[in-house]
Amino acid sequence: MSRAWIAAIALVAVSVVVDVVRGVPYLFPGFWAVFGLAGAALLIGLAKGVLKGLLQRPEDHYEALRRD
Amino acid sequence: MIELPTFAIFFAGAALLGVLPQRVHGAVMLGVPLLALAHVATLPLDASLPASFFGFDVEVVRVDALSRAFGIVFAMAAFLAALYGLRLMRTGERAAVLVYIGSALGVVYAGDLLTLFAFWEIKAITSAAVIAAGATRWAAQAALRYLYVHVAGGTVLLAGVLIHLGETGSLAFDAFALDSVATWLILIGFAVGAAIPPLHAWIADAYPQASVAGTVFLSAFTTKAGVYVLARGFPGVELLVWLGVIMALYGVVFAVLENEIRRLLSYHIVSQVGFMVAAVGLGTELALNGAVAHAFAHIIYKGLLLMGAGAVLYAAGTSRLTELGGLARKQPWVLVLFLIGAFSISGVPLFSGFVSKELSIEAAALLDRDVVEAGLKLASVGTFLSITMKVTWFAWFGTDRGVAVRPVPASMLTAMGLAAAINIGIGIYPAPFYDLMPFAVDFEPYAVGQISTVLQLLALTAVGFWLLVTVAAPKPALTLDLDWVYRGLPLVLTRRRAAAAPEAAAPEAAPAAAAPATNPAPASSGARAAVARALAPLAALQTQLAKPSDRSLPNRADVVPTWALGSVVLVIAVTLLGLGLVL
Repeated sequence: MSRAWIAAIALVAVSVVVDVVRGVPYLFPGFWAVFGLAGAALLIGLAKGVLKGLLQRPEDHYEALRRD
Repeated sequence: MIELPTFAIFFAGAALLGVLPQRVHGAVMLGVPLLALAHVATLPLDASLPASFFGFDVEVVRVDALSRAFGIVFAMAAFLAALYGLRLMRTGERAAVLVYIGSALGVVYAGDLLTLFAFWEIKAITSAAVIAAGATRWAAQAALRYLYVHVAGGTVLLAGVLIHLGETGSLAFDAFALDSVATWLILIGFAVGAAIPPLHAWIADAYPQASVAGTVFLSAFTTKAGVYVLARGFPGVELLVWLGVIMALYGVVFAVLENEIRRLLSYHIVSQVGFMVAAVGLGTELALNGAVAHAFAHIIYKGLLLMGAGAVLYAAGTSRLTELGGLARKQPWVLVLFLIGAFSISGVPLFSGFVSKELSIEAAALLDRDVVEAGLKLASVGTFLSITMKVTWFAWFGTDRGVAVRPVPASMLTAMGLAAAINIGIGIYPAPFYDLMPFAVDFEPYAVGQISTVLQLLALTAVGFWLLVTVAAPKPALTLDLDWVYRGLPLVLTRRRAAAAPEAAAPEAAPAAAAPATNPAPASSGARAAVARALAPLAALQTQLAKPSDRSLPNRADVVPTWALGSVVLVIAVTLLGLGLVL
C-alpha cells in the first residue's frame, strides 16, 4: 500500500510539473488532481452518507414484503 | 443490393442448433460469429436490401459507416462471449443468444422504422429468454419484469412509429426533429432500450440474474442498440446531453453503494452509456465519433469485466464483495485480465477507454460546455473509484475470507485474454479503430496535456479511496432503485389495503344510519385504494412468482425447461428466416 501511495503522489507531482512547464491548462497547476480527490470524497460521501440510509434495505427486502 | 442480411446468419445458426448433435454446438456458436464478422467487414458501404411488406416499402438492410461500426463490434462481441461460454451454456440458452444477437444486428442494419420495430421486439423477447436461462426463480422473476418493461417500451415505440407514419407517410429511419408527439414517443421507446433514467432500473434488476455467460452477452447488445438508434434518430438533441450526464453520475453513485459485482457493473453500464448519450446530444462530428467509439470500446471492456466477475462467481460461488477477499493469489490471471478491463473503463492511457472517452469529453470542451465536461470527468472519477479501486481491492486483496475456488475453464480465460488484447491494442494504436468511426477523426488522444489531466484525476482518486476505504467498504444490503415502483409499491399498497380492510368492514357491519353521511372518506384514501386495486394483479403475480417454495434450484431444468425455451426460440428463428427469405 505504501508503495502505491508513493507512486500516486509521484505521478501527481510529475504531472503538476508538466502543467507548470506547459502553462496552466485549467485554473491552476494540479487542478484535476484536486478535482479527483474532491470528487472521490464527494461520491463516497453522497453514496455512503446520504443514499445508504435512504435506499439500502436488507437483501431479502422484496421477499419480506411478499411474506408480510 | 446485397444477397444475405447478417441477422440471417445468426437465425440460421439458432435453427442449426435444433437439428445438429450437441457435440457440434460449440463449433456452431463460434463459427456463426466468425462468419458474421467476415460478412459485416466485407459489406460495401451504401449497400441495401429493399423489400416490400404489406404494401410498405421497407429497407431490411442499410449499410453505412454508422451501422458498419456497430455491426463489426457486435460480431466481435458475439465471438468473445461465445468462446467464454463455450463450456457453460445449454442448447436453449445458446439458441436464445443467437436469435438475440441476430435481432440486435437487425436493429443496427434496419433502414426503416417497421423493420427496426420488428427486430426491436424480437430482441426484447429473446434477451428475456437469456435472462430466464439463469435458471433460478430470481432469474425467472427478473426476466418477466424485464419483459414487461421492454414490451411497454416497444409499445410506445410502435405508437410513435404509427403516428409518425400517419403524419408524414414515411417509414424512413433517419434523424428526427423532436417536434411532435410521434417523435417524442419514438424517443421514449429508444430511451427504454438505452436505459436512460428513469427508465433504467431493469438493467441492474435483470442482468445480474442471468447465467455467467448470459450476462456477458446481455451487456453487449441491448443498451448499445439503444445508443445506435439514438445516434441515428436524435443526434444533437439537447435533452440527451443532460440525460447523459445524469446517467453517467447516477450509475457511478449507485455503483459505490453496491456489494454484488455483477450488479455494480450493471450500474456502470448505465454510467458508461451516459457518456454515449451525452455525446449523441452534443451532436457534432467529434461527439458522434465519441459516442460510437465509446460504444465500441465499452462493448469489449465491459464484456471483459463481466467475464472477470463471472469467473469469480464460477470459481468461488459468490460475487458479493463482502464474501470475497484475498483472491489475488488464487486467481492471479483473472485479476490481471480484470484489471485490464478496469483500466480500460477508467480511461487510463494505453487502454481502450482512454482513446474513446476522451473524444466525447473533448467534444464538450470544444463547445465550451464546462458543466458537461466536469460532469463526465466526475463520472470518470467514480468509475475508477468503484471498479479499479473498490472491486479490485475488496475481491482480490483486502481480508482473505478463505474462500475456496475451483479452476476456471481455459475457454473462459482465453476469451478474457482476447478481449484484454483488443483493449490494449485499441489503446496503444487507435488509428485503425478511429478509421471505423462514422466521420474522419481529427483528434490526438496522446497529447501531453490530455495524459497529464487523466493521470492527475485518477492518481488522487486512488488516494481518496485509500483515505476513505473503511467508509467505502461494501455492506450486504439491497439498494432500492426505481424498479421499486413496480416491485415494491404494489406490495406495499396491497398490504396497506389488507390492513385497512378490517377497519372498512366494521362500518359496513354497523347500521347504515350510524354511518356519518356528511363525513365521507378523504379523497386521498379513496385514490390510494383505487391505485391499490389497480396494482393488485401485479402484486398477486409477484407473490405467485415467488411461490415455488424456498427450495434452492440447483437444477437449471427445474425452472427453465431448456427444450421448451429452445423450441420457442427455434420457432421464432425459423419463422423469421422464412420471412427474411420471402422478403
